[in-house]
Amino acid sequence: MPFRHPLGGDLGCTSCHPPHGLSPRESRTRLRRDVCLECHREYAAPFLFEHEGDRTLQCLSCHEPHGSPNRRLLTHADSRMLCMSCHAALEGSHRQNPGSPFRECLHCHTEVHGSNWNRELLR
Amino acid sequence: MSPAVASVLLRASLQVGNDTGTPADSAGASVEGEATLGLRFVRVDGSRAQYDEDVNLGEGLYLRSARLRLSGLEDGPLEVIEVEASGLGDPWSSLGIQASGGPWRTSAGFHRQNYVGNAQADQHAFDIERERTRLDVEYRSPDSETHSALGFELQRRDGLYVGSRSINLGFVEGFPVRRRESTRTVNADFGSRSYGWSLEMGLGLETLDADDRRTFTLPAPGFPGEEFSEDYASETRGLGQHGEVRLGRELSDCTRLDLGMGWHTTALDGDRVSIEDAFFFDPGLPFVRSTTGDLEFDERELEGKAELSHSLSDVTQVSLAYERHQDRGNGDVAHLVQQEEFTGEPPSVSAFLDESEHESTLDLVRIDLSTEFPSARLDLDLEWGREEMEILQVGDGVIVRSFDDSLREFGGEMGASFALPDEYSLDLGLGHHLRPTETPDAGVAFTFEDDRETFARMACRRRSELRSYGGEVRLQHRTSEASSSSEADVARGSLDYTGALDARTHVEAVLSLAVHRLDSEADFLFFDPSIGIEVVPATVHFDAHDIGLSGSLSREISELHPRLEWGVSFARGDAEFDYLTGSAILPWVLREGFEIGLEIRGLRFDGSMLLEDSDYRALIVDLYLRRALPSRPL
Repeated sequence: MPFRHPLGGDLGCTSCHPPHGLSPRESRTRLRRDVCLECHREYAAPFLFEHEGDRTLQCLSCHEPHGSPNRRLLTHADSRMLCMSCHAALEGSHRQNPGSPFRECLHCHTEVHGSNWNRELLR
Repeated sequence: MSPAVASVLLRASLQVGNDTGTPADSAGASVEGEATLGLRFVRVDGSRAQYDEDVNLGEGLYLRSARLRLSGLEDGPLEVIEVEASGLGDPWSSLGIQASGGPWRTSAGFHRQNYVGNAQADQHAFDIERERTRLDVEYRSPDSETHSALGFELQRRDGLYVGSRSINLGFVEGFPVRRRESTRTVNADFGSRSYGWSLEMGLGLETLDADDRRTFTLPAPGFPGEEFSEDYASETRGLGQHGEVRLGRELSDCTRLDLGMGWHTTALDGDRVSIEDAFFFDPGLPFVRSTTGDLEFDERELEGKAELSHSLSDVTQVSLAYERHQDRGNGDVAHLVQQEEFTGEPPSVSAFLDESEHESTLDLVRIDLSTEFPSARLDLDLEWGREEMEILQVGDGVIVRSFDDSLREFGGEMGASFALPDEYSLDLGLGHHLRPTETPDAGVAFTFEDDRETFARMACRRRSELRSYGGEVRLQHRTSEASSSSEADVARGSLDYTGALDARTHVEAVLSLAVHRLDSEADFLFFDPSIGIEVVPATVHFDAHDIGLSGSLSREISELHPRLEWGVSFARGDAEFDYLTGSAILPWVLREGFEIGLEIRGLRFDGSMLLEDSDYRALIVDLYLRRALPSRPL
């Protein structure tokens, strides 16, 4: 895949995958959230209004760090495809016909990781 | 740092450029190190923004890496000192100092990242600077298994984004949003072993400060000549506390018990203020609205774990674990809105409260089994969970969302590895997970429905002394009842080869293929002025294929070690692009410890559909000079 998490400085494979000291299960659990938040602290919950995604996979619900067709390292090439893999039944005026501005979910729901101010993750 | 050590460091730094190759005196103080300087030239034709987002490398002089190690210094915590730096002048840079001696280990580090993401096709382009500074001091008692540590960390992030928001069922975009966050953390850890028990304890405190600012005046969507403006600012402050205790004991030669308990609390408070100058769907209905918000939020988490591990034989282990996670959070945002509608009436003032409460208790049971046969290994992981969950969201006294029920989850994975004749190996994997996923149903009551994922994996490889080659296939199928119903398939496959063509030539190559497919039920809403909104049930179908070929070829020719690298990626489906990269790396060892090199990289990006106008060609030329200082006495 053309896009992967950048490596540089002292950030290498073992930054996330320490070779010793953890059982495979502990390592899996850590890789789904904790190693991400060591650098991306701003996405750590709690938020008053959270977007939990998949509660088991956590960050990896939506992101694929090793190789993705999407620049934000999403699991799908198009962010809308990712959103609709869970939110296909849309409410209200979220028309999805071609040309509709509502096809870009992140246009309005900019705070997909969670918000303290808006229940719909709009800001 | 003592004056003696400072003097040694100064002398060592002066000697780095004066290599005589004298072997180190193992009994006294010694120094060794290396430094690599680089000079980069970049030429980009086409979308520079896309290049910045993909490659993020600029021009100029930079320090690739530097390392200086002093050892055999004075007795005490500064017996060995190591200084490392990398990427100074580049978007990713770090500086680290480590010192150790006797029972003491001290390390300090500074990391800085500047990441630019401003591709033309990116609706939320950004430019982020992230810094992380830490200091850790550890003491390990030489006479016992007691150790303790104290760590401090400061993280800071400053980001500038391109924002968007909805206005009157339209959108405005392209305005700047500035976000800053900083956290300060202090952690203390203690570990010991006595009476057959191992003990690990940790305590920590963390503070958080975040602010968010955005200001714009932009054309109103759908109303040429009219404008909307907004001035928005929010600040959030938080305090987190956490602690954990872990105990472990070998109950017998083949049985071990581990117990653990941890807690985490977070308290947040914040303020927001915004002023909007806008209108209600008609320029004749203007208003000025000011909104203030006051946030209070508390969250508490408590978890406990007990695990019993038993070796049934030398090659067979089984473990049984029980975990309980409790999570309780409640908070509210109090909004005060003052609205001036220029109707002659006084401004209206309204207050409303958004409240959110959630409480959950998750019980998990896990069983792991691993065993080995003469030419095979088997691993089995099973997990069952049950969660009692209560969620209540209230807007201005009215329940807007609520849930109170129990949920179940299950996961099982099995892996088997076989050693086959002629240095072949075969790995098989199979797994199934059932997880509750929140439905997007509108209305007060919502539910969690089952989301099932099944995967199968097969990998075959042959490893010999000179080469390794193999292939892997992973198939994944997911069905969800949470979004009406949806089905998704992901298939990934790869073939790879790594090996020596002869004594001096080494080659690597990977061919990878990924296919995504998603079919999901959805409602399309069409607006017809004569009949209003018409709901049309439909199936949303997504399809994407990606194929990539990458590899490298390197050869040792006396003092030259040329290396070629290439990468070819083609994506088809919803976001289409061709991405071709090639590199030639030419290191030249002039003499021992002295190397110069040239790296030439070419990149070509051709995008279409979502990535229209993103094409670019780039040429990156790096010159570098590496100087190594072998170990020598001071």
